[in-house]
Amino acid sequence: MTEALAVLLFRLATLAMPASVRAAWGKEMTAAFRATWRRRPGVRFALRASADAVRAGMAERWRLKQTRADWFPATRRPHVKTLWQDLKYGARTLLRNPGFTAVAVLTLGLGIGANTAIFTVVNSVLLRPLPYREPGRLVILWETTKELPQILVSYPNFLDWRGRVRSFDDAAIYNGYSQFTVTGKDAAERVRGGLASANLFDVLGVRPAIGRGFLPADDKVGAPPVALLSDAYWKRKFGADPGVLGQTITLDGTSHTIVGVLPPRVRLTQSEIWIPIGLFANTEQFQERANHPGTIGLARLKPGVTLAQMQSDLDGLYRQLRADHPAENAGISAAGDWIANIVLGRIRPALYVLAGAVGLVLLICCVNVANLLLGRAAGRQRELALRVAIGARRERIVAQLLTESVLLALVGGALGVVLAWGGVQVLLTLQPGNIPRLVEIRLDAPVLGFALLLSLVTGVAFGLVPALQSAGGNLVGVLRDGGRGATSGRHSLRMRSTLMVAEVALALMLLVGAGLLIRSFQKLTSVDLGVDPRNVLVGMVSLPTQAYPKDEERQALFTGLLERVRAIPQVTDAALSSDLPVNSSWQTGVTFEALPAVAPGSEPLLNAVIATPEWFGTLRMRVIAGRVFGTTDAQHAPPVMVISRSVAKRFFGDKSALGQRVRMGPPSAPWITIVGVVDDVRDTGMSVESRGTMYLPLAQAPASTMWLAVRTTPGAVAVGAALRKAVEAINKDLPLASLGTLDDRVSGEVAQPRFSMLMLGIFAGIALLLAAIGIYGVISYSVAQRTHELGVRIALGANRMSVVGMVVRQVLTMTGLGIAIGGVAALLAGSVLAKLLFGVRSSDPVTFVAVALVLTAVALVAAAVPAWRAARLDPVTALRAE
Amino acid sequence: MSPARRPALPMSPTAYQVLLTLGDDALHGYAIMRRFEELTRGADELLPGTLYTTLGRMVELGWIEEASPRRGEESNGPPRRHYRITPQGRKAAKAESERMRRLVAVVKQERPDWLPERAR
Repeated sequence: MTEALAVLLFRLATLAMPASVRAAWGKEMTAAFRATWRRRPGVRFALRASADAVRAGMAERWRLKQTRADWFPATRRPHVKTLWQDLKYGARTLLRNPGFTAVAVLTLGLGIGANTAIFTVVNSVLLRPLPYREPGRLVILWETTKELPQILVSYPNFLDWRGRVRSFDDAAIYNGYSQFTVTGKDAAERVRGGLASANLFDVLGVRPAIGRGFLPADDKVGAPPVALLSDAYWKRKFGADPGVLGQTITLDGTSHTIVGVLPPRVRLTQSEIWIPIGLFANTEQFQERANHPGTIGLARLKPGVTLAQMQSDLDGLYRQLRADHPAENAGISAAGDWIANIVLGRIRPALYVLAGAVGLVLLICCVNVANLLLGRAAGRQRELALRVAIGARRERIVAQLLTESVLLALVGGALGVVLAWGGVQVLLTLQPGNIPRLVEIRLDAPVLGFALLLSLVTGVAFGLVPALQSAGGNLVGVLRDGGRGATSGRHSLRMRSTLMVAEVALALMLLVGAGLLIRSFQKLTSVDLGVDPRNVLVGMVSLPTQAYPKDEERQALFTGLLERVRAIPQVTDAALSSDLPVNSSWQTGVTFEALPAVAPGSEPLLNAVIATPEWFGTLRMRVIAGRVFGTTDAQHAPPVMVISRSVAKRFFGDKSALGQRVRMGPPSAPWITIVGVVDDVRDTGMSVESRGTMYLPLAQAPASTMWLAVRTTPGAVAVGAALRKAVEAINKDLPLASLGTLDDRVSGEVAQPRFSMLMLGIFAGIALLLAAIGIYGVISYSVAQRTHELGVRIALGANRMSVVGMVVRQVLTMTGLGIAIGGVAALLAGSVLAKLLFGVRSSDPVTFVAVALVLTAVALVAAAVPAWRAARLDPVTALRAE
Repeated sequence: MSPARRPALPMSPTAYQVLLTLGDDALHGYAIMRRFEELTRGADELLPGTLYTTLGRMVELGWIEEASPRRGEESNGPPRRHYRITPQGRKAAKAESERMRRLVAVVKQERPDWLPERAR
């Protein structure tokens, strides 16, 4: 929201105040609003201040009325009476024309309904504050390197934040993407877990629904292990039993006491169970300062502190941290952003585009209903003329017509709310792609208020032009003319043609938007992933280090698992890997033996993936040079790696990378020889080029958590059960987590673009339909108006085809004009869409041309019936109609 | 305008906040908003709509009056009216404070269990 817009909103709100107050304070009040806005702009402040102005204004009006009542008798009452009369009269008129009323109400219901539905989502997701205490002071924090703008936070560095960053009220750290194996209750299960510093929920301002949160004493190595449950997990596994407090739950083989349950709306991450991070403070991943292990910072800033102030504090601290720990912290800094930007940043542009789209749909609805009203006005001219003739003032007639249209809009609005409610239910059952805060979406009082306001505004918007036009002009002449009013008919036709041009322009904008998203989605889904995701099942196997402490043990177990899995009849290939395509999670700095050394901390960062030799074949990756791993690359054999094409190209150019040696991490690490090059895989996300990946053999890089991937014969979904059985056969306490097809995981990545495309497609479809109806209405009206003229032409020997040609020309002129105007508007508005597009520019000519053609075709189809009617005109009947 | 028929107590929270914020100074509306925010360390705010309608009413009640700003405090923005507290306003604020003190005394004596721990 810009300042101008905010000030406009506020000034509109001050209209609720009595004129005396506005005269005395208006300027000063607006200046004060503007000054405050400049200090802390924000939609919420603008809305709050405007609502306050309306409320204060109404209260003041009420008070003045009370004090004046004594010496001013009630002179205002007649107005109320008039309004009531107009309402009754309007309702009767509308009921007398059920066809017209039904079409108008349906159209308005559709428009208002779509807007209400989208507003429900926008209100719940974007406008309502996050369910934390003063969320405007919460920031998410991460560390940075020169290569990567966001990396996870080193635990020892986090410990150094405490008390050393002035801008922080308090800072916490968490890892919300951990997983625990829960045993002891039912079958072993893998659940999303979270590690949190003891103060995490205090910083958020969230109190457990029952029980207590973590205490500092829980957050230490050797403390008795405790756990907090999410509301969903508590309901699912414990049937919402409050007696859960004090019970124990076994996570990764360790018994934890349940001390509390979190309230339902807190979904910082999707973790179902939280345990204190400090329990692991002595493990390598948290003890080593150079590790950045899945942990994210969260801080509450002191009141009024800006991001820039926080950044300068962090910069100061990190200068010190780099000096104190030059080896581990070389090149490391920290940064952060408001929690709302992090949670909502991805969905915000999509929702704004959708809100704009439904706004356009509503405009089209208004145009259509205005068109209907204009058509009807022709029939009512006698009635209105009569009323003017017997002394009604024009203002009264305008007021009465407006009352009618507002009444119409209110009925449409009521229908719209019902439609919106249905639409939101459908939306919720569809569970569209990764919309944050989905659980919080509901149709509540603010939404109803919005629908009411929208109905009122809509009623005035579509009613004003027809009302002014009906009440204007030479009404008395109408009476004399026998009610045919030729002049006003032509005037009305011009008005209706203008509306049709507007409608075509609006529809074009929506269609262009939908077309661009469809093209972008096509591009996105036809990206070459570098792997073949069809008929591949994946699942995660995690070996608890307590049960399997030795690398050799885990190695043998993984090998055994692969053997068992390959024995399943429908399985053609099976392999293990530490990461799946589309979401890599491990980056590491590397040094190339043959290249000049770089300063510590600025080594290039590459993705690293641990895989078994069969990985490349199972996923159908293309080998470009050299070889992939073999059984000879065993634990004590010379270390080898396979690199992706972009790594080879970036560091060795046209020279061969084979035989070159690479070191990962500190100088003490061994040199690893490159033995092969494979084609790039989209491993950072569908729309992002890979930063380059190194593959290491599992035999030489032991790991405890691996993805199992099997390629099956087509259609073999049932293999999932067999896979679970194979894992259980090894150890009944081992779960196979996140089992699913690789295809589903890939399409999960595009769920959000698909959702935007689908919604915008629906709205554009509605717009096209409405535009077609509108064009049909205008053309048939114009043909009807010209019946006499056409009849004369045909009687004088005009070719019937030339009559059709006239109609077609008229349609093409207006559609063309609409397309030109809409095209320019769509070009100008294109930047709004740019954030949602992949591989397509917002000015994509293919889309524009295609949409223009579709729209023209639809316009011609809509005009076909009236054109046909014109061509079939019987000149005798046409002339006799006079 | 007729003088108030009854000096309303309890007075509106906004009026009380304005009286508290004014202290011994002559301030214009926006300055009152800012100082109030500073005094409450950003925890509360006065919104322009309520503030200005209340200022009008307070003038009617005789609690505040127009005053010329202190030398050096005139701003070069649009002309703004400054207000200072009147003896009547002081009296009303005192009465309101007394009323609130009595309420707090009840709370201190009863210590209801819904009180936040800090306040107990």
